[in-house]
Amino acid sequence: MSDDLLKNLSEAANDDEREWLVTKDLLDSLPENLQRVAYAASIPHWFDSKVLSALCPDLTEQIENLLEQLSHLPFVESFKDRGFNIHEKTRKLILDHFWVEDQDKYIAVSKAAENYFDNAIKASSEIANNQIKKLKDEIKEEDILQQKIQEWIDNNRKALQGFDPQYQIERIYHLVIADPEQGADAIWQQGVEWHDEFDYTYATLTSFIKAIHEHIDNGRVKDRAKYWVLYWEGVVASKQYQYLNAKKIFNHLMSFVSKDNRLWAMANEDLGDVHNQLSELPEARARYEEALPLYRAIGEKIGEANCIQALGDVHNKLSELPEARARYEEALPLYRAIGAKIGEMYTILNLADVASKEKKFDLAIQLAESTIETAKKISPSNVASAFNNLANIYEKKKDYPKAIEFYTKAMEIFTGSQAYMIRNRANVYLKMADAENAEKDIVRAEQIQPNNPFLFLRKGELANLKGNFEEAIIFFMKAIDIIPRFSGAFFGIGMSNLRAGKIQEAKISYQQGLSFTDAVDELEDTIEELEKLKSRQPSLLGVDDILEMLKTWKPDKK
Amino acid sequence: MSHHSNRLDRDEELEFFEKMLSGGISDRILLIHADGGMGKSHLLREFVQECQNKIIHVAMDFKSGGISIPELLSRLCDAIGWEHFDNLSTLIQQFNTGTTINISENILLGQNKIAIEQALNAPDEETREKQRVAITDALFHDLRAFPKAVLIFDTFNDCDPVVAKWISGAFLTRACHAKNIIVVIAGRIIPEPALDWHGICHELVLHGIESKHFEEYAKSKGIKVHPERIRGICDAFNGRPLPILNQLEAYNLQERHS
Repeated sequence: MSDDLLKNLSEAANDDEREWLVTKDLLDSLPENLQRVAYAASIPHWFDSKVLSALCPDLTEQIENLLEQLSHLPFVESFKDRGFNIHEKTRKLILDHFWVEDQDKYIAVSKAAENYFDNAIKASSEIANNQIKKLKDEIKEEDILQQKIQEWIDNNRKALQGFDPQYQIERIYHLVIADPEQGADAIWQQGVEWHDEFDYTYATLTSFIKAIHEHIDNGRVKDRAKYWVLYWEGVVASKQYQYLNAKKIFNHLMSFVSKDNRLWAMANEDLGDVHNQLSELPEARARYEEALPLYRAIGEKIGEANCIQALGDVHNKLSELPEARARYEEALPLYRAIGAKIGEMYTILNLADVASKEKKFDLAIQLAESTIETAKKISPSNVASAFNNLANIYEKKKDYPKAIEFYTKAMEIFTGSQAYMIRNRANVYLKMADAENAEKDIVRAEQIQPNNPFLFLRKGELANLKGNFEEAIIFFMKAIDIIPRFSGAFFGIGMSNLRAGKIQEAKISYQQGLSFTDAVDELEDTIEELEKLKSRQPSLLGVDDILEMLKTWKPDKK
Repeated sequence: MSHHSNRLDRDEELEFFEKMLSGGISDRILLIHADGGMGKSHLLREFVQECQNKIIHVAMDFKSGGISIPELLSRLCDAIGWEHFDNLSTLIQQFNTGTTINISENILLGQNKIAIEQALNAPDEETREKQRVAITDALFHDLRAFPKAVLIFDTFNDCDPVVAKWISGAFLTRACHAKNIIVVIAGRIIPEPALDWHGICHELVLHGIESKHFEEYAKSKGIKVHPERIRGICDAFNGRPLPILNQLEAYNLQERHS
């Protein structure tokens, strides 16, 4: 090899091929057992003597010595708290060739690796369970018990390393090679656990996706396991508000054919949610309708209830109120049957919203009030949400003092995230033409959420109220930059232009707003605002034409 | 060969870092861009060595994966000592009022990390962003108490996207205003310099190493290879250390076994 090396290097087709020539030369130069250990060590992302013993059990007695030799090779790096790893670039080359040249051996080593990490996780779990049981027997006071458990955890981190999510990621990373079907199930189940993290960054799920992608990108993992990874990628994108990216990922997933009903149901439901967020309601409805029978086929009640509720939401947004109510009434007993309190609460709030749109305000208020006790059993944020919805009903009823009272109550109950409640209250002050209080709330909401599209909408409306029409248009445009189909912001621009005497520009803005309107009841506030303007300034040109345009508008039912 | 034993030539980069430490230059953010196998992790280990026993420092490698903002902050404070982070601890406690986790039912490693996770927990992204900013402010408020502190991040390309955005944004902006803080970030991808901190940032691209340094390395290790051959290998890889060292080690082993 060495004599031909320079010639081979110059003839290599690309950098990878060139680099493999020297890597292979080094691997071939290693003593037999060290070479075996080097190949095996490339399979996991990190290794120590225990990992290597598990991968090469017949070399256990020599493993410390072999690890020592291995650690001095140029492509071996130290890995903080876990031992060593093969350099990323070298590892990729070794794995690519290992997979092609000896797939059976690759799978066998992966099986051993999966077994090792599975045992490590189980061992940590057993140690923890035994210790917790012991402490529970000894300590009866809950606070002291929790404190003692935490102290024990902090002092036994090495023994509890199996609880580190990276161990679970590593186990499943090897399982998808050792047993692709079981691996696919594990990707689904682990994703369910990790897609709901405390800080909403999804770092663990992202790390998990990235690890399995290594196999997908190199053709080692296909079909179900690959589709589940794609699914979780779409979920993360959607949770991080990257709706267009999420739509692209889910649509790519839909281009495959899968016999996995659960995956297909979940993917359709999630794609439906993305369409819903993008105001693509017919597409959202189609996805939920596709998901529903799949959930029924697998007996997944929560998925079934969520899809029915989501179909209700689409009807509700389109002002198809009897259909919306029917869907919510269908979902409610399903949530109750499985004890899903949050689902139950929001379904009742949706029924209240339908009643409110039908002007059945007493019923709406009664329904919204009935959720408060349920919400108290869930969390303060849900109680605040219930009061916020109650305030929304009073706002629709035009009982503005009551609306303000309940928005204020909601803010007092849950101070964690109240920007939307403050904006809602500002909206009521704007309707009352109370510029001073509206401005106070807008400033407060801006401190919490400075770039929210509804904040820009309210700022534009405040500027209109103060007669600053050019400034108002700038704010409305900022809202449209974030939500291109934001009908309310186009109507805001229309109002600015109309009041500034720019009739043609106003008409165009109202027409644009109508092109993004889904239902007649969305126009109620706009029409009311124009009628108020007409009564204040009867001589203002263009108002009648625009009112006529809005009142005769009908939604495109395609 | 360099003044450091058993190391290939990266004297220029090390000198630059030493100047940053001594305040000889105004740059305090060093971004090291390098392809895989160029020796950046090795260089960062030398930076750590340079700080050892002299300056408070923390080195973190994103290659281990799953490093969220709470994990990063928790590791940073664990390494320096939580007793130095009064402002951060107080803020975390404030954000955490009323939240508890029953750990006998839910074993989670790292009490402090969990506390930060809970502190950053909010139902909407903008509130979370606001809390992240407040926590970053508190962190730098505490870090300012040190005469000097060096924070080193390796394999930035493997950094979680949310963490990468936070480092490039709130974190480096505050590092720029904390005159005692030096930050080194290395990877195949590095943060895009922002308007507020690009003035104190130095971007360094690790290039290949000249053949003569590999010849000296081979000589020091007793590897008998003709310099012409080393030059040929060096040319083939444009001086990128990893494959060249792999080949020199292959020669070493072949010679020992022949």
